[in-house]
Amino acid sequence: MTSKYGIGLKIAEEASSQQTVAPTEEHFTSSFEQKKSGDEGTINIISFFLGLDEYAFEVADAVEVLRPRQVTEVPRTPAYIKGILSVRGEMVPVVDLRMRLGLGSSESRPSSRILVVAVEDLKMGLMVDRLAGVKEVPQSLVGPPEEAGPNALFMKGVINAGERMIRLLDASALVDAEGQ
Amino acid sequence: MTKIDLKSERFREFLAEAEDILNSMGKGLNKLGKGVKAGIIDPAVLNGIFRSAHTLKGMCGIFEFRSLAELSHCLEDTLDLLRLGRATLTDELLYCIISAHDLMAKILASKGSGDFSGEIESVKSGLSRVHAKKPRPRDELTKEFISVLTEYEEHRLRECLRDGRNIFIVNVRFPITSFDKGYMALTELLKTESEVIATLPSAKTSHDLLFFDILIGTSRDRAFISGIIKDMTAESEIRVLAEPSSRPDREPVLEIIRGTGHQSSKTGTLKRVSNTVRVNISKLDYIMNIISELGILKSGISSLSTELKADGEFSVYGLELSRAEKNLERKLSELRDSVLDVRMVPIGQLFGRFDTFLGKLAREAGKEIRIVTRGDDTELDKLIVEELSDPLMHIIRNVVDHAIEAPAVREAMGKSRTGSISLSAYQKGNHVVIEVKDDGAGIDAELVREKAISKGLVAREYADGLSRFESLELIFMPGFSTVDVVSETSGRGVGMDVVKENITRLSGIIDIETVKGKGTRFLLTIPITLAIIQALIIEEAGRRYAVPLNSVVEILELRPNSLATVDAEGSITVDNRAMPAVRLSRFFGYPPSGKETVYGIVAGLAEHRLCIVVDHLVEELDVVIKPLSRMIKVPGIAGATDMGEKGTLLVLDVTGILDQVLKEKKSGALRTASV
Repeated sequence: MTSKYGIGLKIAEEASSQQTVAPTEEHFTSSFEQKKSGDEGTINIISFFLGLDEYAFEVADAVEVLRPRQVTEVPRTPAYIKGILSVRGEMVPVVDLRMRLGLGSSESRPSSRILVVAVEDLKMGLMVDRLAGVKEVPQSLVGPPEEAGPNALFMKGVINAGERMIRLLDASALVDAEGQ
Repeated sequence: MTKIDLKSERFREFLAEAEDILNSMGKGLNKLGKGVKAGIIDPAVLNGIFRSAHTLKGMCGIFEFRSLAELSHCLEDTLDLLRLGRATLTDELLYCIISAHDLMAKILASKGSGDFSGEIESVKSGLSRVHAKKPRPRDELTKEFISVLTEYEEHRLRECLRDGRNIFIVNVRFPITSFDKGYMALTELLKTESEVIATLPSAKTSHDLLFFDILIGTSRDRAFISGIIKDMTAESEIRVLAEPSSRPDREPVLEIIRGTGHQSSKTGTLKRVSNTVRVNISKLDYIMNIISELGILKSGISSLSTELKADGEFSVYGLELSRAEKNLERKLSELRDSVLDVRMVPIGQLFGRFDTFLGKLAREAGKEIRIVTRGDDTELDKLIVEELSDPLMHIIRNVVDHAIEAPAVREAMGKSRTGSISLSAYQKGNHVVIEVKDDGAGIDAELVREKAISKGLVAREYADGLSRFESLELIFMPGFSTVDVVSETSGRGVGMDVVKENITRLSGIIDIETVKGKGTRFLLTIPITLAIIQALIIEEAGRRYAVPLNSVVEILELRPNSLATVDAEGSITVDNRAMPAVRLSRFFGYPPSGKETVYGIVAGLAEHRLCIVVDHLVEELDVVIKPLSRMIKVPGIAGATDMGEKGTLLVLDVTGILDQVLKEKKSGALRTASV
């Protein structure tokens, strides 16, 4: 188990180091397919940074990663909804995740990505500052969410990876919060 | 046991096919119902329903769709008894069969997710209460002849005899290579003049010929039948088994007519007769997307040719290019029209479903109602037809429950005992108008207003200011119901708001006309298709939007010194007509531009008009509307359209804006003081 974790973390570090060019969209999309079914006792996550903090979704929740592009602003919606984007003919709302979590609005930078998550047939795009990578994490390292407060609703747990801490987000809570 | 994979292509095909079968079963039940009333039961119809149930049972078995399989099995058993004449089709039994059909449709719609065991049990117990008839004593027909017939065939034979028809045995032979084709053609022909009771293999044999005995019952005489067979040039002979009309009291006489000639077609074929292709509508949507993208590309060429034409040196090429572009435009619109045509289905498909549904409802409500449909051939987009199913069902349900009076009440009022609901459809430009008319009690606007106030849906001060039409519109509010007792069908206050919501989603408009004591007319005006629409691209406060042209009443140019004047109250006067106006940017909460010459897009909803003021009119384009995500609901926005390179545009719902502005004006929430 630990050796597996070690490898996973290494991949993550490679991906997150500045020398490595951010993985291509195709790369992530194909690795989702491979990692959807994790072994017993482990979960597959896709992690990313919002500022200096690392967050993650379960790979099963993620659909694809897009480079930032022009979204169409929708009036009379909350400020954190940046607008809609046509993803393969389907209209997907794009949410500024930093703003949604009350971390201030994010600014567009070359490493920014839109991570598309899906809950059943509902898709949502989330603006993130930088992708870290896809990794396999033993279930034993996933603890209960630490934070109380407005964001507790969106937290699924906390992964304690040595010195680093990855907050695991709940995609369905984010989608459900928008009402249907 | 494998679980049903809801996403698999095969399962989806199964659903589509099962739906078709249920539809045709529904049509059959309709005919059967009419037959029962008239006292004539067409065996072919009964058989058709039986076969549908049988096929469905088989299909459900393959997909392990147990609840449906169980029900179709039970229905098949009952229908089998009926077609064999071992049970009588009573009104009560017909009702059970219709309920079974409805439940099957419901189960199918749930795609196997719901639990219907309770309902299945009750329907099953209804079906099993068939009153079996005593088997009839054997009569003059020879035992050995009867012995080769199935029970059903025997029953039909007896029925034919009882009806006084002639019974013939047509003996035919076909070349072994093409017998199927020849046999089909012959039976089709025979069916036009007779009932084909049974086909029996003949005792005669030959190495390259097949012999059949076709047992038919007909009111025609032998010469007539042999005449039509001669036309077929099939090698045949006809034996007369029984001619009750000429020899009523005698034993059947066997006669043989020998025919000559030869089956013309020598080669068989494996080609299917039907040329129909079943296509998933999403594939058509995809084609529509491409067409709309082509339209956008074409508009690029168009602006290029305009530029070239203005350029002295290249103006000749510009002209050439613009001519080519015109041709492209023509072909493109042909392509668009033909794809649209493929999506069109007659609304009769939908009307037909209500026939059985209404019968059941009326029975439950203890009312006598007949349904009349008109304009069944009117064509609408398949998706729209499906979307109309729920709203129409709710309207009909309400009419049955609240509008049509009980038979005794009707008689006392001097109306006929039987109430009538008419469903009609006709095309009006790019729209189809669907009218649901009843001759019931009508809607009392006063009562509606009082109920809405007493239920706390509206404040009295607000309600008192409403016109009669606006009061009527209160029935579309969520939670509205004029009945205090909740019945099985309606009265829960759920329904009419769904109607309004669904129709609005289809960019449609509802009008109500009602006369107290005389009846009510619901008019639904629906666009023929939503797949691709003509849109006007407009710009306001630096943002572009698409406006569906079919919802625009007129477009005005508002120069600062033109006849149109805008006053401080947020209304506009054009040719002495005043109407409310709103600046689009204000409606959406953006700061408006300071542009002087602006344009007014006039939206209409019933007798209301609203002028929506925008900065620029950009161009006209065919666009494909996509729904916004369910997570975003914004009044005034119908959806979005993907413009390829040019990004995504929001599509405005102008009647939605009108509706919202009227509401906000009433409650004083929105200040449209300065336009």
